[in-house]
Amino acid sequence: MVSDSNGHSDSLQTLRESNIWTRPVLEDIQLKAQLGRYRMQGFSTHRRVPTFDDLTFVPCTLSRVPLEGYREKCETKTVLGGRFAAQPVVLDRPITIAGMSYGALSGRAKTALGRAARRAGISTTTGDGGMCREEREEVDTMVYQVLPSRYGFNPDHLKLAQAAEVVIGQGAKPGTGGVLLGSKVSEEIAEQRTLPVGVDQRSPVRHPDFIGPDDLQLKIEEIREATDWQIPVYVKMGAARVADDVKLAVKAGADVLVIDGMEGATGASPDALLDHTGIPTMSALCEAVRSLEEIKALGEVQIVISGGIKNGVDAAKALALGADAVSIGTAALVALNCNAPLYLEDYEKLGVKPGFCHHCHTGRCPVGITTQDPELMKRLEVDDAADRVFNFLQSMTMEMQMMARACGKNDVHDLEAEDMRALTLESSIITGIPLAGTDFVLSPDAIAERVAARLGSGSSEAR
Amino acid sequence: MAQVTSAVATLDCAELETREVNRTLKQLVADGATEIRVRNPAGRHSLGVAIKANVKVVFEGPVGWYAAGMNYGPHVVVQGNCGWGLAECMMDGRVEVLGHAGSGTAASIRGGLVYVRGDTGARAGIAMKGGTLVVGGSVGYMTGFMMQKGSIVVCGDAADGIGDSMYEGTIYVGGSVASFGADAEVAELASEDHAFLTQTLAQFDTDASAFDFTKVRSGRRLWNFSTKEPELWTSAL
Repeated sequence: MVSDSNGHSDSLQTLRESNIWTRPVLEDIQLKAQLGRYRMQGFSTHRRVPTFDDLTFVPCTLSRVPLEGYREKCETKTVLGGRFAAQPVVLDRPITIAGMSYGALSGRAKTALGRAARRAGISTTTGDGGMCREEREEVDTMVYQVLPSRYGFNPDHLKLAQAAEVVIGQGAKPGTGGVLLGSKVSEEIAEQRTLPVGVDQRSPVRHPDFIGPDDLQLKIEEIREATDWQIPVYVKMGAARVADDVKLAVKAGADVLVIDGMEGATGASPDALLDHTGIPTMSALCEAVRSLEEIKALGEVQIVISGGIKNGVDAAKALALGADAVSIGTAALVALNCNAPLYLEDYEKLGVKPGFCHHCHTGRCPVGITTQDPELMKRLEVDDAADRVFNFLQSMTMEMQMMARACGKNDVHDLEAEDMRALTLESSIITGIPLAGTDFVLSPDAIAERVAARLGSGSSEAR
Repeated sequence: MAQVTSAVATLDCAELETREVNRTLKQLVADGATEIRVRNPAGRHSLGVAIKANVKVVFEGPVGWYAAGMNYGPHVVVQGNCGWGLAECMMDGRVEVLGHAGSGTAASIRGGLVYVRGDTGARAGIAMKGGTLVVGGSVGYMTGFMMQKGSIVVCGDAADGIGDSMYEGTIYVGGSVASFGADAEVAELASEDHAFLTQTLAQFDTDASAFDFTKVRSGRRLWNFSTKEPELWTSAL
């Protein structure tokens, strides 16, 4: 301990950590001082944001009559894309597997997802890099993405798809293209994407042949002409200015909107984008629904919501808020075994432990999911992995049905905002659902009304 | 509507919707037409897309956006100008435009040959994954942006940022270059380059020796993250 000339010391017995210069901040700066660039990571944001957990269902009691929880039928069939397409997508459950690239994921992981999706009667989605042949062979309903990079894009593959999805952006990093670091650009992946082996691939964010919403209308028309107006065209967007984006996409002719909130994950991204761009999934969904209502397109254009959907309860809440289906990515990977306590020594090599791993970008996935390393890939046994994903999808479906029955609904799509209450003030304001224990929503209009009522006038002047 | 004379068919689209034009085109191909002449295209968008056949299609007039996009094999001739995204994502085949073309010409093509007798807009040959683009006139800014493979031949001038962030591929410019894009570098022409240019341009009655071509290729310094060239990385897109 250092003392002054009088023998006094300024040091405290208790160590005080700065609220600004926290240990993670210090570590972040020191790491960037070594890297000379932004930090990269896989997975999703670490931030706490308003989520579906901030809502709760208020099931039937005396004022409503529930359905028998374990016996009565509860429909889950979902139809997407009937606005212009001759053959809409019909799913057995309101769930889709989100677009994840063959490249970010191993071929085995894509195959397992395809197999599970077929058993569950749902769709999978391609990703940057085009169609994985094994996945296509497994799955009945495939959504083929049209991405800015057009890596691996093949019109023949588009014609094999049950829907096309024009990707404008993703929730993990709206406004920025994807990244696939060189460690994952193997010979096979490089050939599929027409890239040099081992290159740090940074995908473009703008499409090569269109820029704005008017152009998108023409692009959608081209896709329809290429597929003879048979399949639906989805438009996927990272959640940012959702209200405006929704209107523009609908005007451009989208059948289905896929809105990806900021909790959406990725195989690789600068962490600054993950933590500081986009808006939360629940907020995005509410904004999208209001926007569709405003232009009288709710029901005509479907909403698929994604970003941090982790179970059937989240899905049920999303449906109650107006989504037609949810899309899952990370949850499906976790069902595959992501972050499972296996091969502990390989987690250690990455400097993490099971439950904390977000090193998809390195290509050193200990459980063989987000890797192109032949030895690591062998760790994912496809049959077992597909079973696990199917079981998870089944559990999600049962949870959705459970919530719907408890709320007296015989179709999960009949869930509505009135079936819920908000547990936090912010979720109440975002969703327009009353805070539990109250009968009002804290909106500017509501405040004005109450003030007016308190003043006893109720006139517009009081507002 | 469509008139078929032996293997040559004529399709007048004056009274048709785009959807009917494309359906009829595909039906004519299925019926065995080897050449289809399309009258009154009138600048419609998305004409002649996703055709997978060895057939010649001649548009007797200007076409709009995405003409001959996603094709696999046909020989398409446009007797006029065309809009953005000409032949985008073409897998194979041949497209010839006798006028000018808009931006994103030959975007992300993976094979075949695209020829524009006049000028092209911005980002011609963007993200090309193979094939050849030949421009008789000049090209707009950022031509060859993020090009991955294939060749671009420009007989006229190139605007700013040519070859920006190319992965691979080769661009030849016969006129002036306003500026090079990030990581684009000039290379010396080898005998194979001269042979390629002579052979390619001869198809369009153009003498390659009349030009002093500049060869542009990737410097490969953006292939992998590096802290050694911070200026390059902060200027790169």
